[in-house]
Amino acid sequence: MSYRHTKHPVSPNMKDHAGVDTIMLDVLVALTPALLMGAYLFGLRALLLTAVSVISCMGFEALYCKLTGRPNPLRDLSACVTGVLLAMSLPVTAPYWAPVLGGAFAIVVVKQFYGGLGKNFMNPALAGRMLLLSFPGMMTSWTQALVRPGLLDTADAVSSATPMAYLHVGQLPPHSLGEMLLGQHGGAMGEVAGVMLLLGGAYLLARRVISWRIPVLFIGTVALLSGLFAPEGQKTVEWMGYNMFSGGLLLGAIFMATDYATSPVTPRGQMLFGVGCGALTFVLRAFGSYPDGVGFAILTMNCCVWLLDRIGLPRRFGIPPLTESRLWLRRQMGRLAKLKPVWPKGGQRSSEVKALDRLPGLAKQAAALCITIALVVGGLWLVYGVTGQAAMEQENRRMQQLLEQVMPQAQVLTETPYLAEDALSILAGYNESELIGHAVEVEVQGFGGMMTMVVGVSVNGEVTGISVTANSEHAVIGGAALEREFLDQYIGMSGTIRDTGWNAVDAVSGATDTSRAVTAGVNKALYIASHLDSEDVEFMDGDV
Amino acid sequence: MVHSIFGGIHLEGRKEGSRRKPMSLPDVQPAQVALPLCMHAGQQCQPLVKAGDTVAVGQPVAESEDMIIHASVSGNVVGVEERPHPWGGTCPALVIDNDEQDTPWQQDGPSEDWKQMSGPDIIERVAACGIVGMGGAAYPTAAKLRAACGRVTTVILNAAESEPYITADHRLLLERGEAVLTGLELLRRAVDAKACVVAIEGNKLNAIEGLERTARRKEIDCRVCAVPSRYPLGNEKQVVKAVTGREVASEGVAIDVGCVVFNVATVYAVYQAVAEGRALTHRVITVGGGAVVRPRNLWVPVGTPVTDLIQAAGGLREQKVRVLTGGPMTGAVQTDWSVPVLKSTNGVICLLDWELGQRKPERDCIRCGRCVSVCPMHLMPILVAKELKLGADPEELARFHTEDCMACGCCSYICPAHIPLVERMAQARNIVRQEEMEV
Amino acid sequence: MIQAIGLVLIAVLAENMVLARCMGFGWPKEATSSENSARRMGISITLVMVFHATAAWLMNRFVLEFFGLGHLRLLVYALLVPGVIWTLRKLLDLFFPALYRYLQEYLGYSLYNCAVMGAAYIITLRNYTFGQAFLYALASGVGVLLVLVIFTGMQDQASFESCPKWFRGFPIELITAGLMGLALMGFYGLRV
Repeated sequence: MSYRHTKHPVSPNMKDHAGVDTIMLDVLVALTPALLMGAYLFGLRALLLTAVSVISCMGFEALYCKLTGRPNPLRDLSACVTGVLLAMSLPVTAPYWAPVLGGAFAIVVVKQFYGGLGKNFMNPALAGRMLLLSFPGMMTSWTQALVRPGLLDTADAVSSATPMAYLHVGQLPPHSLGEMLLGQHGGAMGEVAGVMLLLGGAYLLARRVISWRIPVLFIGTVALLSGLFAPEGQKTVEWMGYNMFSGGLLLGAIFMATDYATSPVTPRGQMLFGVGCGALTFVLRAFGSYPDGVGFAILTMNCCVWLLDRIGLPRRFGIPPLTESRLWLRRQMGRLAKLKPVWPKGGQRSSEVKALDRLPGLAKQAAALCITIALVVGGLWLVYGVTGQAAMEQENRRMQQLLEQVMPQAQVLTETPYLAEDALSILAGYNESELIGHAVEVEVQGFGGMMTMVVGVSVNGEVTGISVTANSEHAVIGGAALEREFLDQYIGMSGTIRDTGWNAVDAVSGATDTSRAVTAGVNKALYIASHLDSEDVEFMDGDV
Repeated sequence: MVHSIFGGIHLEGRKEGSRRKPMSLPDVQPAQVALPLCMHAGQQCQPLVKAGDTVAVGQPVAESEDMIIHASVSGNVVGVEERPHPWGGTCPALVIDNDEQDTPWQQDGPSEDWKQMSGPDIIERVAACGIVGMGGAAYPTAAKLRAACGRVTTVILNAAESEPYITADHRLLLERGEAVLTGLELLRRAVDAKACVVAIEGNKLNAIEGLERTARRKEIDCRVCAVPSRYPLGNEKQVVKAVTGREVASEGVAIDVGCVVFNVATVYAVYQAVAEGRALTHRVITVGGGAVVRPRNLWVPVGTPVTDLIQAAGGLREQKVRVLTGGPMTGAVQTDWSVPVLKSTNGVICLLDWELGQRKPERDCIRCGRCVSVCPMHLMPILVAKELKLGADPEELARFHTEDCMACGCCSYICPAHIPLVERMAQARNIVRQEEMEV
Repeated sequence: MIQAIGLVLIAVLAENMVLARCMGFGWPKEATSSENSARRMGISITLVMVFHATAAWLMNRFVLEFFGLGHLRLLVYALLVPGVIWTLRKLLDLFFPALYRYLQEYLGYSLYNCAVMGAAYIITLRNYTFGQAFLYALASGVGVLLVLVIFTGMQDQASFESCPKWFRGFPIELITAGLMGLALMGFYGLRV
């Protein structure tokens, strides 16, 4: 008998002390400095919000597991971590129901519906935060640091721009880099204190809870890309520094992206994940409409983790590097080579005989199809004929209404071949073939968004009337500036209308921005109308 | 230059108990030794003596095609009996009553000009003295030498004892460094290699210094390479990678990449065989662990029962003890303490509960990925365990190269969810192997 | 060049047909059952979208607008879809038999996928040039292909069986698609 050395099934007989609960406890310890700093900067409400978040997350997890008969997993503290992370990404002025809703969504839908800890594919805390983002006002009003709102009433908290908002438009925020690190700027409760987050990250690295790959590559890629593509007039290193320390980058890279269940398990996959998150963050910050893209970048990469694990499969021990990749490439090329075009063979002619036999049947089908199409086309044409009239009449009425508001003296507005950069369209008003003036459609930036207005200018350069056709002003605050009373003040004015002094229009109190916007629009229209034949306005020959 | 190794874990050495004590002989000799007839990788040996014969130390008492077993004590042969085997189950063993005389076998004796012995002669001597790989695998050394002859450029001495508690090789190097290095030089001559390297863990500073000094003094041309002190560095493939940077493919051996690796105790046995003319009858064993009163390194005859070793180390502190042969990570649990030690047993470790680490109930995998980052063979235990749960499709499992697994235990050690990953890998390996045999 | 990249990014990420516009959901159950079928479905949809969008653009420019028949646009585009699919099948069968065998029945499944018509309509509304139309249709198709592949590939990481009984099957798939759409929400309004 020859003996084969078999390993005993009980080995190894030593065990590392780490368990899931110790790992989660380490994460909580790492989060504590940032949380306390947030409480110092934003007041006790920060702590209370965090407590509500943690209690609701743990409560929902216990409730769900009780209702579905699963063993209670509260002891592994993962719901606690989700609660703290969710709270830390909220502004301190968030209402108390926000973390409850976010927690319910995160725990029940994103985590438990897919099987609990380790089986979800998307980061629960981040998904909860993104859900709350769809409530427009809440997640975009950030208070400044050291302004501590009350526990119950946040009406006196003034919202201000975060550093990320400045960076999004290409300017440096008014804080120094030191202030950025210490957290003396606006932002979410837990995201502001850069130093504390870095401390927490160092603790996690030392305890080997997270690996260096994802945070270092994530932050490094963002820094590299933002440094390479810094806007004009910014010093590269300074721009990189501000980009690294503002927004949710530190919190996201150290705590959210490294979440076990939603990041790759292979080392190479983790590196790709970090680089991908960084690249997407840069793309979103530079070209997206939300100021900070960290959360969305991480969520998008979460969806691709299965692919990264496959790409990042470790090389087999003993096989030289890149062998697998070369084999894979060769296989794909082989597949593609099969797609070469083939000249149809002559032997297919025999099928034409059969086609001739089928011809009568095909002809019948084709005839039926043609008759159906003809009927439908005829019906559509009739309907158009009947209703087309009504559509044209409606268009006429709209034009008439516009005329009355903008240029009462004219009877008809026609398009002109003028094309100006700032004007959406330039119409001419005629009264029995006499040119009364021009109506210029311009766009201006109001308080809540772009406003479109049509301004009538007589041939003498005086305003004949204004009509605001589209706006997104606040109904109460800016609306007063859009009333007829206010707009009629402009009739008869010319030149450049100012806000104060000579040739001014009184702004409506409480609606200064909107009033100023209207004035700016009128000035623009006046300028265009008086420069119709100069180089600022093009004349398009030929078909308009 | 040391090449980097992927994976591995930092274990507490726990070697303080026996690290500083010199090797010693047991106070009391064993009353009986049992020499298992199948103590190496190969055919079972056939006994050369029968019940009632008197044998001397070093007398060949059993042999097979590639192995000779010598008597480790002198006395009467009781016969061939079934004894428990450290690797599991029972095995026929030649039992010898010890008359405590230690009579050497007269036909042994050193040859006069052993320093000029030629390569083939060295291999003959090694074969005649029954030397096997004494680090655990028990592969006949003579066969290894013959296979390596002319095909290797480097002879590596594996002194990286990365298992906790075991300090046998360390003490051997400190106290018999010159003999070990001379043995290494003999082996180099035997396989006609160009270089000798000693691979030793970086934290054994005194041994490193001692070796370097001895090598300089004796003008033995060998390089001392300090490898990182991470756990499975003691495995052959990891040592080869650390010293030469070359990776041994899955079904291959170190000879394929031009190296041959020997354990310290093996090389010392070779020295004893060639220079002192002694067969392999004794070896150093670390008796340690928290349960032993006086942990130490003992020089004992092969075949000594484990109970005698524990007695020689002062006995046990407590009743509830887990006794292992080998190290804690890869060792075998022994329930019957009359089991004899083999030529390849390098430690007898008796562990208390707190040293074992908590064995909590298994829970669902949390996808932390630690098992992937510690596996020195670049495997993915997490995916294997998941595939087993999903349905154990042999084709899918074959993708994960489970045959590369050396069962080092790093993955089970590190898993926070207490999943017995080593068992899962072994299960997967069996499924794939069965499938291959059926096909 | 930058505009082209911007257009592609917008079509794939910011206005992804399936996730952002909820348009291209029409595929049979087996399309998401394995990765192979997901790839085939995605490639067929892309092919059909590209051919349909270009045919629709040409039809619009040279027939509908020339003769002032804008009110027939819906009908014409709808008829073009089976026409394009029929033509594609014949062409592929004749000239690329390997590809035809690969995509066989999935070309037919693209018939009732609303992303095809959707792309054509968006191109018309936005007055794209021919090149922009081609690129937009191609990128939208690639977006649908990506969603299909990711959705199917994700199933070996996230299990769709652990939810409560009433959510299994289509509901959890919709929830998953919604979560993926949540991730893409950040790309709305992307402009290069």
